[in-house]
Amino acid sequence: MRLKDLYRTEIYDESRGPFFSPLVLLAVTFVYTVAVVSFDRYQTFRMLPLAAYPIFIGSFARVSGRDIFRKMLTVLPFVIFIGIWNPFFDTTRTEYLGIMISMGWISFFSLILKFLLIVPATLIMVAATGFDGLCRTAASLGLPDVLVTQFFLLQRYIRLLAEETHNIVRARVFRGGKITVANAGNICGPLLLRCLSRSERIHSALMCRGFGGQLYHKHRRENRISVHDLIFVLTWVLFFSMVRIFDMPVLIGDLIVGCVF
Amino acid sequence: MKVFEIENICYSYPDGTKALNDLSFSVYEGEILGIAGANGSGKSTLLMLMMGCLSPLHGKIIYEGEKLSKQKLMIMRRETGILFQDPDDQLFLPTVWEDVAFGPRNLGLTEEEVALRVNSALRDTGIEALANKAPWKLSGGEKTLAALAGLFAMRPKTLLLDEPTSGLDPKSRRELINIIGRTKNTAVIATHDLDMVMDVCQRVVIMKNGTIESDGKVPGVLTDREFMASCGLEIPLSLTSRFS
Repeated sequence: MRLKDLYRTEIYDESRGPFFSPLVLLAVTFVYTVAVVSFDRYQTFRMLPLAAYPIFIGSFARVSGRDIFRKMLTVLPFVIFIGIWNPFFDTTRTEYLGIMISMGWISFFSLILKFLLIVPATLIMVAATGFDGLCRTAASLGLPDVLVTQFFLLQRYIRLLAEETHNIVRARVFRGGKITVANAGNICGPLLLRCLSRSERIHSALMCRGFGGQLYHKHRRENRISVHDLIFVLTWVLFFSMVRIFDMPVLIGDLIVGCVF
Repeated sequence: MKVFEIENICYSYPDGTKALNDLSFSVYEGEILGIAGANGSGKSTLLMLMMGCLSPLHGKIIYEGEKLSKQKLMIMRRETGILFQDPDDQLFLPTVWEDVAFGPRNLGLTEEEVALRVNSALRDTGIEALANKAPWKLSGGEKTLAALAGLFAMRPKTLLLDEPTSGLDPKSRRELINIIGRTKNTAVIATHDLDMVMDVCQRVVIMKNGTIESDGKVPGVLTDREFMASCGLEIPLSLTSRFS
């Protein structure tokens, strides 16, 4: 993945049809995240059925799985760095799937699984609704204009920082220069100055088009929820609750065993 | 009627670089004024000062008979649209349609009126097909047209265009010149493209090192080969065969 593409969220198929409102997706993804996080750190397979949600919204919104996977890979090392200490500190041994293993490894596996469930769902939600859609939803939920505008402009300026970093790094590399820790200062200084200069121009352009500090005008705040949206929310909340309350893999396993034998 | 009166303006950048030195001229209603000059002659700085993005160290800018105060600046910005040299600085919303709608929404118009204006601006600039595209996915020429549509949607009385044809291929350049040529607005165009100045401007101001070297009718100024060379410019290509 190229540096300047890191910020990009528009990874869904542009020809996609109408999708659920950003408000609905935000709400369901929030409940989903709470459901995943609420599982005990030693519970692993019980949360597996929750994978149905990212798979469903991903295929419905026609989000590119490859792009989601590439974005996940950029975050994965941080999660591994956090979880890898568990086996060292939690050394109690237990039998798991017929093998003797330390509880630390189970909690590490559980952490990775939670990451694999939550991050794709969040990325798909952002990709399917767009950052603008999320900001609009935040505005319609009553978040102060100043915060929403900051939130939106932050994303714009992160993109700017990524673009400028990409340009500086490319300019150096193309002229045979190397990026090392020793010369990182020489890059950071010009990068900061270039970003400041460009952000001033962006701010001037905004002001010249009558920007008064409010990106989402009150008369635009529409977030009508249809019956389909309501059914979508209720179905998923019911599903998450069932997965949380019952051990679905065991129930399904018992059902299959009962039917076959 | 004078739209802009620039009186004895001086401007230096914080690092001490002198950009403009005792500059005076006027922009009249309905005219298309070209501002030409070599690199670093102060064309872009002048447009930034006219839009109130920078403040002059000396001198004053008068808009429609009144000095630019905070109140007048807001009125002027509602009535004047500026196209930046780099359209990437101007486009920032997720789709071209949303970006073009940004200005009209800031004018406090209803959504119906915003939609009317946006669709009309996209039609005028010939980029209706790009309405739902992300601005950063467009080519350089398309970005310039999208930024221009953003100005048209605000229905400004005056247009300030900074290097509008730079980086455009010949076809996009010709389309842009046609669009500018069709406009009924007052326009100030800072450019190196002297053929465009020949095509669309009635008057031209030639700048050199932050001062005005000449201010007059287009054919008269642009055909003086020696004078143009002294300002770091050449006569327009379209005149080369006739005057060489």
